[in-house]
Amino acid sequence: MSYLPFVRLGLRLCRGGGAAGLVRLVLQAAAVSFGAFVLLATLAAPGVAERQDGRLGDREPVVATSAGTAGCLKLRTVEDNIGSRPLRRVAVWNTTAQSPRPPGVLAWPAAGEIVVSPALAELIGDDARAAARFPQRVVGVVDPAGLVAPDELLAYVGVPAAEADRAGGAQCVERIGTQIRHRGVSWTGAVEEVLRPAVLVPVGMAVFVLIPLGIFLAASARLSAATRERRLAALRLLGADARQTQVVNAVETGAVAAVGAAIGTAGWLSVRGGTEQLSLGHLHWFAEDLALSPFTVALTAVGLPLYAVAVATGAFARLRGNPLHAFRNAASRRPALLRIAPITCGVALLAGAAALPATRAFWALLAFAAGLVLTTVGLPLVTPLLVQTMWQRLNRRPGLPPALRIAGRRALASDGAAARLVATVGVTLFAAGIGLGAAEHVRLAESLATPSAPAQLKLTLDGAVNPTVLDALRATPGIHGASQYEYASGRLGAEQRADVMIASCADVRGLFDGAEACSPERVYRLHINSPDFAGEPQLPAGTTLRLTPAAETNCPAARTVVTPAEKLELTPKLYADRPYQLLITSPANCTAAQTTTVLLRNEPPVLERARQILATQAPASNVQGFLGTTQGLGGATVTVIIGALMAITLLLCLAALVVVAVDRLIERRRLIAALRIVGVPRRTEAAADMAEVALPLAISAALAMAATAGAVHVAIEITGVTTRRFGEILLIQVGLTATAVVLLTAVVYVGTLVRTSSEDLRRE
Amino acid sequence: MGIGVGADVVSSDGLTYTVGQTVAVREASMRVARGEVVAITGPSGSGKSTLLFLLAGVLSPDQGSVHLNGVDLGAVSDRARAGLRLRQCGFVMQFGDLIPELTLAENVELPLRLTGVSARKARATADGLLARLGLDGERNRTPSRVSGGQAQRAAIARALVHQPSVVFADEPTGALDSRSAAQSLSALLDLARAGGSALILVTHAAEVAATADRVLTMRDGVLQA
Repeated sequence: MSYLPFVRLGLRLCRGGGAAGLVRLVLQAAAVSFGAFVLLATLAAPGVAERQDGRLGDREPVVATSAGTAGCLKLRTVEDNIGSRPLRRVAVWNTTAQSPRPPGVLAWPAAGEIVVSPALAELIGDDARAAARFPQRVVGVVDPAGLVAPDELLAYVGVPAAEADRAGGAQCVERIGTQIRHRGVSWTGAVEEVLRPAVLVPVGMAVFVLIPLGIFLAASARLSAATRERRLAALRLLGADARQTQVVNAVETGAVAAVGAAIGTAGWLSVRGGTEQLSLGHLHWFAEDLALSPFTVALTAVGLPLYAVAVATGAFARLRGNPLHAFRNAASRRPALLRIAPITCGVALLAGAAALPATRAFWALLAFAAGLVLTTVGLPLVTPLLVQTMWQRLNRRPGLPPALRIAGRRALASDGAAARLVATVGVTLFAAGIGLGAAEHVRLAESLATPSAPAQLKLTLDGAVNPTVLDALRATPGIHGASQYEYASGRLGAEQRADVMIASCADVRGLFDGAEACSPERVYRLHINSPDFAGEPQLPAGTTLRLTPAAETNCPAARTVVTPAEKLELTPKLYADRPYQLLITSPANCTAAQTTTVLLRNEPPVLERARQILATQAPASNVQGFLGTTQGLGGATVTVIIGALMAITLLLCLAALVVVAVDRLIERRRLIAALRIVGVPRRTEAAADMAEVALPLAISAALAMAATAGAVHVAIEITGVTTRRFGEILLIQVGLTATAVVLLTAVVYVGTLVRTSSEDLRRE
Repeated sequence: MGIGVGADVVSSDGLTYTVGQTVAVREASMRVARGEVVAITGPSGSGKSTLLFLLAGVLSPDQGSVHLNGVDLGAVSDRARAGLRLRQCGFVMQFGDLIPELTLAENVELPLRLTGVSARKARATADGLLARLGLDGERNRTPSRVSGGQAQRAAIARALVHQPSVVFADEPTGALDSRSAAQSLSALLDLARAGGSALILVTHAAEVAATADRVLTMRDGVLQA
């Protein structure tokens, strides 16, 4: 027999009938539409990272391995910032018309000129700090092809070759454009192999988006399940076979889902361009970066309706057998024991990850990632099984209060709306726990790596700077010292070496306290008072030191020094980079100092002034040290990403809550009819409603918290980064559970307001 | 005991059906001739409805056989049984069980549309039947917008619109007031007789059973003549 009449019937049923049908139709389409939008946005995220990495690589200089020719193109990149915005300043010199250029740069700037990104051009016009930082003439604007993101602050600064070469260290640029390597959000080599975007993005997407989205869409695909099941059962009685009934079901669900998916897809495609105005922390993107292949868009637009059809087909599977079950409110089938498999595998993988030795961190992290995904999948699957088991046990108790008895019987006979609802909450709790754990982990790892907000900062510049730069720095309030010095290694005999500083007394005083007795053209033995160098050997007087050759020290010739009796006890103003043992206060003997150090108070105006001086007067100098500069996937950015993912999870949870709540309100009249007829008090009715949701919620929350505790423990085992805030994570989960209870209570309360006329009761 | 199947619309032989530990129907044998009205009565839980659904091929017996117009339902697939129901049977349940999203007219024309009858012809047939049952003013209303009696009459129209050889009715007036019950029963009997359809109706009500050509009683799953 042709399926066409059944397809037609399915399409007719889509249009619904009556207010409840219309609500269901709109809700289902809206849910799929929202799902399609979220899914497309999530699928676009890896593309953004990939394209931005591509453009970053395209402009990366590749230096020559050989010495290169004289006057070759040279670049030096300095990571800086303006306010809280990262700024990339690229000093460029020895340019010619034939010099290779990065994409988006039509011509290199000459000395005294700059080529800037559009965002920086705008900032220079608007912000006095930016204008003071770049007094050069703007001769060009970088095209989008040369930018990572539209709001990127990028400047190619032309500098005089003589000044730039004085800074030293820059190599000839052979070509521009390479593939960049990901550093990864990690702190050990083995971890680095796993915690890279290619692994993090799919795991993050699965835990935070895809699985919650799957549950949300499943909830929306099963709206009014009991009513629909009765209708399909009526069709079976009428003479439709199981397959024809499922055709009606599939067409009805699929058509609504297809409309929803089309609306969501169209919505995404239309708002995508507008997202260029948005940002996530420091993450910003071009609208084109969010482009998805037509295949991916088509797959989403087709895949979501197919998924909804699969869920709806599974939901009414019992109609394949006896359709009378639907009319007689027969108990639902007990969920299959197989549901326990994913969470068992997930827990086993997590346990395996914890048990692996530190030398196998790569495999431990892979097992951890797989364990997380399987646990997230397993939580919503295993919850209905546990809930059914608990209700069955409770129902055997003879003295069970009526409200619990009603709730238990209803839960065993229902289509599992309550279990689906709490499964959503459970996954959200787990995702929130994992997200908070990850954010805390990132915070701790970062704080281990960098002491946060020190009172004083030390900036180090490779190479010498013009004395006027030092004068300008020293004249700035808040800058304690600006010094340049030469490091030399002194050889004592065959094996031993000593650290030698060659600097003027003024420079030494800029770095250390206790140098009042310092005189020029002298040699001193040194003792550096610093806990970092406690126990370092001292040079005795009369020791002969042979300084290493000129190529290493920049001094004109190798020389021999005999250590004097005079000794200076120096205390670093901030910290010393080496345990210097000898000081030679005759820098004139060396042609160029190799290191310039600036000590300053960690205050925004002081930092801003220091940056301004360096940017304008020593643009080619490579500045190292803590400048509060962040680029790429730093801890803060990772935290923002985690926060965004958690927000999506929460949004999906709330959306699922709304869908299921509306569903319950639609179905409520049927559920309570029998109770109202026999005169069950409304209080008992409400208590039964609460109990029906509260038990699964308690089970789901307990499972989620246990899983979180396990996962966080395993993460600590693998990475060795310990958190004491684990209790806070659990507290937040308890808070989220309490919020869910409040929301569910509200849903139950609203449900009790549903009025039922005697005619309603008679019909039900 | 063998039963001839030639002229009978429905016949069963030794039907037994067990639900868990309970034997709901025990060795039930019966036959219903074309155009005959048979009532099955008995106390609640005696197995009347289960027997009805066994005869209709909705349930499959543990033992015994059912023939519908000579076709052994146990020997054909679920799909074929469903096809037989669609073309040769009509159903009236206690609560009508009309499809709530469809109007009364759409509900009534459904069996015709599902068997490939054109929309125009199906609509004309359904409209005629609804008018005959006094529902022409309600044809475009959904079941929730009409009274229980009207919905039940629409369900009767749906059961008979395709002129089935047999109509199975499970407490067709059980949910109605006496006036609506009388109207519905009258409509059911009139339409069934006019179309030459056999009618097997399960009922508690003696006055309903009294309208039948033959009354069978069930007690503890055993069918008694």
